[in-house]
Amino acid sequence: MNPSAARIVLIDDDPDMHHAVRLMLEPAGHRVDCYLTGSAGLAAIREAPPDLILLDIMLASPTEGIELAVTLRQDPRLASIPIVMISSVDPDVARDLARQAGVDDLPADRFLEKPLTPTGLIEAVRETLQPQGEPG
Amino acid sequence: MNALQRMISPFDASDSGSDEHSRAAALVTMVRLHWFIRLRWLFLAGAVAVLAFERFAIPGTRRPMGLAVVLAALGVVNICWMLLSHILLRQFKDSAPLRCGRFCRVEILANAQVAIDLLLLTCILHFVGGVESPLAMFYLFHVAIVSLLLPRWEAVLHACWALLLYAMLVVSELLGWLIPHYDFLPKHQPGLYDEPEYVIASLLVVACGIFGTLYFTLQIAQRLERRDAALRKANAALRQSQIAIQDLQRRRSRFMQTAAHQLKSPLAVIQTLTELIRCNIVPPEAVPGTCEKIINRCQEGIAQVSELLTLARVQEADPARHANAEADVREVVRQLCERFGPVAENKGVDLSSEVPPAGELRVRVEPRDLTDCLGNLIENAIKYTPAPGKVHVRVTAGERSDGGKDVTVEVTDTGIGISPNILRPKNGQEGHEAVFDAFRRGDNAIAAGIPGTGLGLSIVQEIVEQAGGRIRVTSRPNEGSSFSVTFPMYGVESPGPHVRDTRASVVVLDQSSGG
Repeated sequence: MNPSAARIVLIDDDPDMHHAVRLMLEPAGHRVDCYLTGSAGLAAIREAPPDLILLDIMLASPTEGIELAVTLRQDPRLASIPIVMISSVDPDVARDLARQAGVDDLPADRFLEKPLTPTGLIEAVRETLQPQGEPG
Repeated sequence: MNALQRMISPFDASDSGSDEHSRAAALVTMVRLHWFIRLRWLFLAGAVAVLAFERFAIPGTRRPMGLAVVLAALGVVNICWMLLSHILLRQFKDSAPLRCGRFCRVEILANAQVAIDLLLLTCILHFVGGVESPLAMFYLFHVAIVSLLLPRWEAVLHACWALLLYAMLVVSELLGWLIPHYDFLPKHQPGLYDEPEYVIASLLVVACGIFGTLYFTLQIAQRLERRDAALRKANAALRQSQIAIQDLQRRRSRFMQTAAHQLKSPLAVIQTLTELIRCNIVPPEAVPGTCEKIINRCQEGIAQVSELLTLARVQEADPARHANAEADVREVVRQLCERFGPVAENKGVDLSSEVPPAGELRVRVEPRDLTDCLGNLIENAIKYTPAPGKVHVRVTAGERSDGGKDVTVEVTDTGIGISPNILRPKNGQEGHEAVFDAFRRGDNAIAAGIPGTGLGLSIVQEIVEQAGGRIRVTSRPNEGSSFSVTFPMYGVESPGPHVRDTRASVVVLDQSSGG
């Protein structure tokens, strides 16, 4: 798989974030599919597993993103898809939310705190895709 | 029965729940018994000192040998009590059962000590003058102690025992039965012990003293018990309110966390989009659209701050302020329809209202709160109703089952409805708060891309709750929602406890599954 042209699923309840993430990642050659709700995003992921998932933590409930990630990790077909969590809460609060949702640590490969910067996001996506890209 | 007595009384500690209590009470009694043992040593030391002083300072004074024997007996008995107390204390530490049959071990020990003390006191009294001795007042001392230490009926028995002993002593001396009389002061011999009038008068005085002391001490004990019970009740209430405060603090901190997140969201988007424009990542043709988004997010942030301020104002205010407030629903609905009419028209939504032309429609709510409450409902209805749609506001006055009157405002729309996931009770718990939770928004509202703060219904709920009203919501996805709020009518019943006690009840009918 080419890390510079991945299919990425973004789940965020903020439509402007969709706009911003597309502006940042599409010029790099990635394809970004955006979903406003966890249920819609999960359905899309199950239908066609993407290369990377960008997941907001606070969706309909403060911990829905974490619960969604746990569901993905428990699915053998989807467990290997890297997850980058994005949230406007800081990493400590994110870990607290994870504990609230009943897991010890954030079920994600990376955590990015909003506001996102173009370099930060592109770098995180590249680094998260790299380990999978190298052997292939 | 005072608190202590009640706790160690044989009838009380039968249930395991009060076992902890009875153990604590038994320990208190044990500590007091230890104190009595020390007091007895003190008395013995005092008695020996007085006798020695008398012997050497006043030559020729001779007390009967029996007195020394009784004092020695008191010493021996006190040593026995010490040993028994130690054994009981060890058993107590080993958590052995406190009870021996129906009775508490500590209580048996206390009763035995008092009974034997009274007997020995009578013996001492006999050797130091009998009816002529002022030492009879020690009976009162004993009676006061038992009334505080033991259950009421046991205290009465000890008082009777004391009087019986004294009566036996003085009558025996009077009639010359079995025992001789010893004078109080060996050198002076007033010889009053064989005067029947004096003996009867003494007996009467001692009897009055004993039962008077018994009565007053029991009264004090009862008062102490009442105070103790009140104190324990207050303590329990305090503990409960402490738990409630802790819970409130937890919820508040969670609320702050969510609020901060919600306030940060538009700011984060604004920063990211601005950064994208600055770095020329946004294509020139998309710049105006992106700026539009930035402005919208600024407006959103400002709206959130104002709604947070409204919520804070409503939450902080004293609920009693509604008790004497008065707001005219007719007027408020008219103003709101005027305000939102153009908004609805622009959107292609038909806003109509149905208000009874005559009759009392004033409610016991602060006018500003009523405007906020109904305004939020009408604004939501318009916001979540796509064109062409309808929003209808209906006002009705009705009578409650308890005879009071209220006014109901129903706001019905033909909008997108409420997601079933926030209409159902959370985690199967009682209560249907999800839809009214701060910052909580339905999936369908988010999916439709309708901006909202998720605070409007929290404000509505808070106002309704504080005004002693009720709120009801019914909804069917894609068909519409209906919110109805009911407030008590102004001037129908006296304001007061009703307003404070009434909690808003939220009834949510989830019709989506049936439809």
